[in-house]
Amino acid sequence: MAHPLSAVGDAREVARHWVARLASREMSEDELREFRSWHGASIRNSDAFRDERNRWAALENTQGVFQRSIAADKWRSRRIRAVWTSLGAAAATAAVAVVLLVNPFVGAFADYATHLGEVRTIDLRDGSQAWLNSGTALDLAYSDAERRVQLLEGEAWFKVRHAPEQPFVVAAGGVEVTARGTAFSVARGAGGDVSLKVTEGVVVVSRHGTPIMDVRAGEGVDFAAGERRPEMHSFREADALAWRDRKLVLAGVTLEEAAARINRYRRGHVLFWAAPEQKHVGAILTFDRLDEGLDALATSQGHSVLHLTPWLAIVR
Amino acid sequence: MSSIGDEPAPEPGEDDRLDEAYVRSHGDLVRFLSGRLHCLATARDVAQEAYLRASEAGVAINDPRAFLFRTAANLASDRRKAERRHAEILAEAAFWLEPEPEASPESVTLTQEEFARVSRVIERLPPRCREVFYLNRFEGLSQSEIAERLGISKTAVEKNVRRALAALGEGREK
Repeated sequence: MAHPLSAVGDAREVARHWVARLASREMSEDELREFRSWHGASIRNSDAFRDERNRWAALENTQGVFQRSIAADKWRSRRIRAVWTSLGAAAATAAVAVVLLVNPFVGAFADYATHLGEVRTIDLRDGSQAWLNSGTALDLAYSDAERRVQLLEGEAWFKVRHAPEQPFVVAAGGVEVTARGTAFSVARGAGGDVSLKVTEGVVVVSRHGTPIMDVRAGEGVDFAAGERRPEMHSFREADALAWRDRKLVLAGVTLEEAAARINRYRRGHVLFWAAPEQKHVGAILTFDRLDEGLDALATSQGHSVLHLTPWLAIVR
Repeated sequence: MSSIGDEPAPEPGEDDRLDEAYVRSHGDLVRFLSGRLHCLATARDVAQEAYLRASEAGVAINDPRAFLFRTAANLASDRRKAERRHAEILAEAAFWLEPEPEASPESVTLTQEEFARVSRVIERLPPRCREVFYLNRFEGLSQSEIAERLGISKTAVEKNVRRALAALGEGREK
C-alpha cells in the first residue's frame, strides 16, 4: 500500500519529512515500518531520501556556524539586562590580538589581509581600529546588534570604540571575546590554539556560545585545542604586542623556537643541519632585518647560517 | 494487625491487606526492582505502578506481598523489553541517517561555496528555528526534550526541523 504522504508534494519533501522523523529519536515501530516501505517503494523515493540524508550528513561541518549564531542571539537578549551599564562608560577602548592557523587560500576571500612581513592599521567603520600582524586575514560582519569580527588567520589587535549597545565581538574558532569597553588581545596559534591577552579593562570570553569567564587587564588566557580547561598566564604588553611597532621580541626561547617565530614574518624555511642546543636566547629584531637577526642569533650559539636562496636558510 | 502511624486502624479488608503489604515492603520492593531495572527512579515508578495494578486486579489475593512482587517483576520485564526495543529503533534510525560507506566524499561534504551559502542561510534562520535544529542535529536531543526545554509543542519542534532542512537544502547543486 502506498504511504499517504507519497501523494503529497514531491519525493524530496517526503524524504525531508522522514529525515526529520528518523532524527526525532522517538519513532515508533509502526512508523519505522512505514518508512521502510516508502523507501523501498520506488527508486525515486530512495534516491530522494539518499540526497536528503547526505545533506543531513554534510551539515556536520556547520556546527560552529550554528553555535556562533545562537550565541549572538543570546547576547542580544542578554543585553536587555543591562550588563553593560554596571561597567560604566569610563573605558573607551579595547585591544584584541588574535593568531590563527595559516590557511593558504583564506586571505583571498577576507575583507582585510596582510602579507608575510606586513603590518597594517585599519580604521573600521565604527571608529574602532585594527592592527593586523603579518599574514593575517579578517572579516567584518557588523549588524545593528553587534560588531562582529571574524579572525580567519594570523593575529590582530583592536582598539575598540565604546558602544555598549552594539557589542564588539572577536570570534576565533570556538572562542569568542566580547569587549566590555576594555582593551584586550586574543591569539590563535598552530593546531587551533587560541590565546587571549587583555591590556585594559575587562572582556567576557565565550566558548561554543556559553560565556565562561571574565578576563582583566594584565591577564592572559590560553585555550589549547581540544582542551576544556583554559590556562591563565601573565604577559608583558611591550614584548607580546611589539609587532605593532614591527618588532619581534624574543626572550627565553631556544634557537629553534626563535627560528619558528621569525618564520611567521618571512617567506621561506629555516632548516637545522645540526640539532641546536636547548639554551635560551634573547633578542629584539626588526621586521625589515629578520635574516640578519637570525644570523646573529645562530652565531651567538656557535652556528653559522647558509642562505641558499631567499627562501631557504640552513643553520649549521 | 498494626495501624500505620496515627491513622485509625481500618477494618481488615482485601484493600487494607494490600495497602499494608505495600507500605511494609515498599523498601524491599524498590530494591528488588532497582536490581532489575538499574535505575532507582524507574524502580520507584514501577513499584507504584505494581501497587496500582494489584489494587485494580479485583481478584482475591492470598499473599499480597508475593502478589505485589510478582506484578512488579512482570512490569519490570515489560519495561526492559520496551527499552530494548526503543534502543533498537534508535539504532536503526541512526543507521538510516548515516551515509552509505560507498558514498563519495563530495556527496556528503559541503564545497567551499556551499559552506558559505549554507552559513548565510543559517544566520538568516529565525532564532527559534536555528536553536531547534541545532539541539536536534548537534546535541542529539529528542523532539520531546527540545519541546520541553524551549516550552513549545512537539509539532512546532518538528515543523522547525523540517523548515531548517528545506532552507538549508535550497539552491544546492545537484
